[in-house]
Amino acid sequence: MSFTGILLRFLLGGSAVAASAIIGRKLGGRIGGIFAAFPAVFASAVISTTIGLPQLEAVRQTVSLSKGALVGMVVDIGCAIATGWLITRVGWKKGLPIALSGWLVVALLVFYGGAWMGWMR
Amino acid sequence: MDAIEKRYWLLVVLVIEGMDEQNMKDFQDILIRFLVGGTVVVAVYILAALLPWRSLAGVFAAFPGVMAAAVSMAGWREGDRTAAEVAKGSVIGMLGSTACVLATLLVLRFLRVWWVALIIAILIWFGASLLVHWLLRKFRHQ
Repeated sequence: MSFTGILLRFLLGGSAVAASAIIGRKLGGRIGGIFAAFPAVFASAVISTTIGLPQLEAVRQTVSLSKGALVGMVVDIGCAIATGWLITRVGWKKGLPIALSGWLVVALLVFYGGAWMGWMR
Repeated sequence: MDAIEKRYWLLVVLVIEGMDEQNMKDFQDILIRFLVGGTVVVAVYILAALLPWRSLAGVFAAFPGVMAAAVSMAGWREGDRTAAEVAKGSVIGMLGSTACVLATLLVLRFLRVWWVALIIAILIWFGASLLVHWLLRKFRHQ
């Protein structure tokens, strides 16, 4: 793990997220909305952790990352609904940190549940 | 700081100063998304390298950092009501992203090439997002 490697991955992730937002705005409308929600972080994370690995190891890495990301994304849906609900009750300054803390706790619990059942490695 | 570097920073300052209010808001929004996206990807890379469970790094690849950034920007600029709408609106994007991850896993069961699986998953994400938007429009009209 080198500083250059970390910097390149930072630029890759940041650029992918920023580019999807810019393309989304330029296109506008329904297609623009879809592009703005492009799973750029997931795609960048897969590319940045698997690139350079031998094919079989890269597939294993992608499967492991995707299994974890699936847990995270299902919890994300609950987190977004909870964030919307909490903001209307306690405001965004309190509601957002509560929802994100909830995401962390639930995602880790589901992860450990999956690991206990042997699905996560 | 050499002369070229000074000129570069002067250009950056001039571009930022020349922006109107809307352009400045867009610039701040894109900058925050860039920083959040970069930070999450680096965190996943470090966790994948250090932790014995790679799947745990994957959990953090789904950290809703971009949603959090969009909600806080909306809350800061336009108040709680808009922030709540942004949070609820992001559910559609998350459904599409979940389809993308699920598709990656399914494709990798049959095709053991990670980058091809990722490209197919992105195409499936696009199709799934279109379907969700179409269904939402249909339900709204009804």
